[in-house]
Amino acid sequence: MFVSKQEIEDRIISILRNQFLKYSNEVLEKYKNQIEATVKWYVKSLPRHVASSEADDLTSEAKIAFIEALKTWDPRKGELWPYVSVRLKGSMQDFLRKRGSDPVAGMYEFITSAANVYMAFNRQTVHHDKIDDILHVDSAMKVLDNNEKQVISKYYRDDKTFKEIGKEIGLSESQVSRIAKTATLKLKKSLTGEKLKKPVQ
Amino acid sequence: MADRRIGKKLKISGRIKQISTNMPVGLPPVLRRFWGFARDMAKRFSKNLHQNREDELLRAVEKDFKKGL
Repeated sequence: MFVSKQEIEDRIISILRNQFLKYSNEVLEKYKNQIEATVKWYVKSLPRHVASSEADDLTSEAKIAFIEALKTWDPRKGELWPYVSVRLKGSMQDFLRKRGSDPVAGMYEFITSAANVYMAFNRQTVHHDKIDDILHVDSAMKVLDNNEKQVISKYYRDDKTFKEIGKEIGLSESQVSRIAKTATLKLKKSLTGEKLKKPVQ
Repeated sequence: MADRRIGKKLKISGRIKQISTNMPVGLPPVLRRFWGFARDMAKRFSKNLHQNREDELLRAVEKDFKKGL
């Protein structure tokens, strides 16, 4: 039976690795400080609201990733820490992405929620207090184009979400959000008697 | 002349320091050929542990290879 050099080396590595993995807790203990430093360094780069809520979870996630990385580390290709540290960062990113709090993945949610807060604020001040009371809605609505009128009436009168409105009109949620924002500004200006500037095309 | 000799280090030639990790007796021929590699890799694994477990790791390799290829 012919066995190549590569096969024998692989077998030796696999035996050594199996034996080595029995002491994975010992390895984890040895690299504990470095893992924590990596997590701290990564957490620093995150927005504050994410960092405060996810720091503990990220540490445990990093430790799990460390143990996983030990299973695939090949000493022929280099030292342990450089190999593992890259994987730690990747696993933390994956974790945040799955949780939906990754800085990039969460950007959309952040903008939507900010828009909602903004709209909620405007709903109180502009519409409830002024539009309903002064009953100038119809005249104010003349400033808006068709899409804007639809969005505003569906959002404020029918109490629908941007997503639902978007489906009905055939626009995306973010487009509806943008339309609602500009329409509200137009209404606000119209009701307070400010002259509207012509939109730049 | 005598003063110069005192300052120089004494050179002992013809004696090589014995290697501490000798190849164990009764190793299968295949592993005998790859013993250097196995020892080197065991050292690299062991470096990441608190204790030096090189011998223990090598014993596991030896035991496995004795079962045959």
